[in-house]
Amino acid sequence: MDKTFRNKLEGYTAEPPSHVWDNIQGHLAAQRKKRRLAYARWIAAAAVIILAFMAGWYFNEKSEKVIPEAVENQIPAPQKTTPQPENKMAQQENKQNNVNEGAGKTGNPALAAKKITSTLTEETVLVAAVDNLDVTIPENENSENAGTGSVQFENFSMNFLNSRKASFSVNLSEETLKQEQVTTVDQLSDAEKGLIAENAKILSEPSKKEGNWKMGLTVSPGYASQVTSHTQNYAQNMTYSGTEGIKNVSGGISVQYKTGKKWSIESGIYYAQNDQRSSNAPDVNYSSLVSGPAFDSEKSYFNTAVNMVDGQMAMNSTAGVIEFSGTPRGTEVATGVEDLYGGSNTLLTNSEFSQVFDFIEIPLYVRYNILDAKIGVQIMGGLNAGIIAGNNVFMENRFGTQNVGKTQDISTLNISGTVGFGLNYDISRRISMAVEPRLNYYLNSINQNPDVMFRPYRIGVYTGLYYQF
Amino acid sequence: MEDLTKIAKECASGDVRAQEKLYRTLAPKMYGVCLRFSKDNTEAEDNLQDGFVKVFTNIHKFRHEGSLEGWVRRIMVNVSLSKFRKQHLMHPVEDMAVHDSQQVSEDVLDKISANELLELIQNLPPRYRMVFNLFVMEGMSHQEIGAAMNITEGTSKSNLARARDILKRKVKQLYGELDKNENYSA
Repeated sequence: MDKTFRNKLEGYTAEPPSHVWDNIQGHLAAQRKKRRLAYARWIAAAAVIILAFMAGWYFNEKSEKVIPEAVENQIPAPQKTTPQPENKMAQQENKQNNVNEGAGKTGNPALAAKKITSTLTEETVLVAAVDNLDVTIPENENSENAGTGSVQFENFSMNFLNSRKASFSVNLSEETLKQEQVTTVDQLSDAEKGLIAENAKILSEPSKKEGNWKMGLTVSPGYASQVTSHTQNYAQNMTYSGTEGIKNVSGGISVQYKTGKKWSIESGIYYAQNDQRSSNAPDVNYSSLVSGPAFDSEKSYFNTAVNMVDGQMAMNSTAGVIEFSGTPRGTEVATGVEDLYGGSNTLLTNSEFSQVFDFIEIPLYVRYNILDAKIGVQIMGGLNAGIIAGNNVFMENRFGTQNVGKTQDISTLNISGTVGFGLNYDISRRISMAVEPRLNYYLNSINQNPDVMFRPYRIGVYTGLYYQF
Repeated sequence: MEDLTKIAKECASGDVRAQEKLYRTLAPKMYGVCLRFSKDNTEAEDNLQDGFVKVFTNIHKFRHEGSLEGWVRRIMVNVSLSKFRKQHLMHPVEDMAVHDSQQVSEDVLDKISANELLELIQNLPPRYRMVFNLFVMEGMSHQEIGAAMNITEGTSKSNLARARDILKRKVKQLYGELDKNENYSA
């Protein structure tokens, strides 16, 4: 019996209906399109990331180049006045203040070494940032690849389900035709065949399931400020602390992965800036300077004690000790032996100082969908690794804005917490827009100096365009 | 007929005309295979379609070691199998009753057309149809069938026996009379 079946059916052939070939072509064309789209997507993502970093690097470089030449000529007089007791006074003050820098001209090798390492850290910040890039991006790629793999697999099964649906409807019409006129499928008119193929194509098209991945670009105008506190010793010789925050813009790339119906996790890379402004203390020790040469009593001067180490100045400020790379334009350094405030040198200027920190933040957020509709509501929260990519001190006076140095003891890697509440709107099936107020607050003091507690925070309204795939 | 190997290579480079050529050459035979594995034309067309999409997306992996036709046929069988697995997740309670085996003479079977035999197979319950096809038409062993369908070897054997029984009974029902008449006339 088996043999009869085998013999009769082995060579059995039947001409399949022509719409089968049309459907196959439709499927293959859709696959090709999808593949092209996937390439384009990756290229676009890579381009955006590269662009973001090039921009960050460019701006960083640019701001470093503005370092002005030291204007030693402008301040000839005060340094001559009392060179001898300077060392003693400096050492005394150093003990008292417990400031890391400034051992006077004792030539202590340990301190000199310390200075070298602190200048090195700026470079290592950049290197660390770049290293971090190298590590994180391939990771993302891998996990996303794996993700799209599974998505494709799901797509395939969905395709298959839908194509079943498609040909089911197609065949319904065929069967009714058969019943009515007992004709074979081949006798369908060309127009009908075209329609059938078209229908099948359309039906198989929306089978692409909404992806679990979401990628977006966000920008946020924001308000950045900080919570600070200082030891009394430090504060005694500190610039006048600025209390106002700064308005600035931050932004970045966000990558989200949906883990469940309501939950998703998010990472990405963001750029943010925190900027602390302070002026020198209003003329507290004005009187001690009256006798100083080249002092124009008409001018309203501000001053803060500075420490001089091998001709380099260090000044206590809100976010930490400012290490000057030279003597900025529009300043004068006064040295007074009988200075009541313990500072051997005083920086006279009516400039405003800003200590600017550029952060590259890599977040890990959890999102929860409160309302999943065309206009959805989400809450989010999580942690950021904030890498300091830029540490600069600017001084603003009648000579313009100068980059005068950097802040000491700033840690390269800091942790901040973020909470937010967002609204998102689906523009189309894949593209959505989100507006999300967020609060980002540094959990540690970004300055390692025990005398300084400086924790930046930022409130921003993150507006982003997202693409789901 | 053009060399299939050449066509396959052209297909791998995405040549649509070569794809159509390959389809036109192999589709009738593959449709036959799909028809045996399906309950009706609709299902067969579906499988044929999915099978060929798989063939064209994976043809660059074809190593040209065996025959292309055999490779395509394996894909068709696999598509039918995987679809069966998806649709029939439930394991039916095996009917272990001993069936009195039917006897049908080969003469009767010989007179039945291929189309009629096909219809008989299509009307078998899905599980029996799968086992019968895999064993009789594809020449797979019960062990292989068990692995492919996620059933035991014993189940495969009993399914095959049951399939044969049903087929024989149907043949007797439908063509028994014919058989008798011819016997009388002989």
